[in-house]
Amino acid sequence: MKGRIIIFSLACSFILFSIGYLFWEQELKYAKPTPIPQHFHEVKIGERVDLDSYLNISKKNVVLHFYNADCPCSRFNMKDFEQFARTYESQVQFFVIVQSTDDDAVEKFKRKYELNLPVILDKDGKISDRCGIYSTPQAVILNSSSEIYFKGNYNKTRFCSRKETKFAELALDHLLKEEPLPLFILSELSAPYGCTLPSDAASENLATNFLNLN
Amino acid sequence: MQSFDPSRFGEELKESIKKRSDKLIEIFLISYFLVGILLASAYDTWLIGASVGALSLALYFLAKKLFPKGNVHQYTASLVVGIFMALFIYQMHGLFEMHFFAFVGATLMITYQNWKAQLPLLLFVVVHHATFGYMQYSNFIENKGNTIYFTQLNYMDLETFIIHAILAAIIVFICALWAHDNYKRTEEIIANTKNIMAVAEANESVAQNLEYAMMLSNGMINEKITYKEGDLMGEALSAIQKKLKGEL
Repeated sequence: MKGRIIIFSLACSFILFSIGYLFWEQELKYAKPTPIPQHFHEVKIGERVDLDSYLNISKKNVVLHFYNADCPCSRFNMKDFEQFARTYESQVQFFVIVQSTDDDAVEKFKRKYELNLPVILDKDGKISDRCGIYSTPQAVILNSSSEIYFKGNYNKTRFCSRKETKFAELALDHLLKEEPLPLFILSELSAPYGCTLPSDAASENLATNFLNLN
Repeated sequence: MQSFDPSRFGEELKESIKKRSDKLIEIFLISYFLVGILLASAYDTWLIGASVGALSLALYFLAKKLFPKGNVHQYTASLVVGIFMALFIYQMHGLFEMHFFAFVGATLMITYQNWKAQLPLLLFVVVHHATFGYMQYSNFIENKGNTIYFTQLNYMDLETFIIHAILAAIIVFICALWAHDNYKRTEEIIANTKNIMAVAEANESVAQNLEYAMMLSNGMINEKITYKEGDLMGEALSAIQKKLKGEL
């Protein structure tokens, strides 16, 4: 009997420790910013971005929403993005930029979310590279001169509900009032969180493989 | 046909209740595991859904294997349903409805007819909610990036937390009460059944003695009279028979 108690106590401790470790390890993975891809070219706020060959821009101000269906953070963010889009769609032009190897990704997105917004498949990451985006979910707001007014996370880290730090929404509010981007947004804005874009993950792997071969 | 041993009736009834409860709980625990797998599709929590689910089931079945006769596996099951609640809350990123699995777990534990089986679950829920609720609140107040998926609000304020705690305590109390009530009813059933069996045995004895008396009155004094210990009538009839035979 004593032996069984010892065995059970050890097994119980091991199992509970393992469970705790698994939770901690998962949290840590998503608590860190998205790693910057090796050949990432930074595009700063204020720089002009030419997307005419990819997007049919008709309104003054534009919001680009970068989405990846395989990214849990991107899926979790959709509720807030839907609300954001519905609030401002009459005032600005929204584009959903989907990066996926699946050719049906655009149709799948339209069926799932029923947003009446143009959805663009950015298979090779050309649009995301031009905007300097390497993770999802991310927002890019362009002003009337196609300059980046805002780019980054929708909210602080990966939690979307905090009103005071709804960066994208706050930034758009200021843009519509024709005000400069508030300093507090720039200071509060942290490095991008979420999942690496497939196009950047692919180039990471190629670079890693190349380095390994050499 | 299995022979019925009246002296073991109480023990056997309790055993059959335990067995039935174990089967029910195991069905639910496996269902919990499958729910975890299903929920994994929402935010790609496959690894944690499968591994924590499997580890939790392993904990329960290990307890059952090592302590088949005792109640250790009941308390383990109680802890395990608490772990599953925490897992579902995590997997659904603090979705409020997942917190209700605490109440599902408390209700499940009634089947064991053991009020103490509520305690591991209660303790786990209190520690889990207090810890993660405070961590999320603390992150918010200190203006840190929130990484805790406990509730999908900014944080759970103290008033809400207290109301939660009171209601949870009431539900757990009711479940414990019903478990204990069911236990008392089982004890009553055993006592009543034992009484009924004793009366039946006494009636059997009376019928047999009546038969012996009839025999003696008809002059059949050579038939063997048997009686159980404590059967005074049987003993008296045997003495009468011996007197009639001239043995006394």
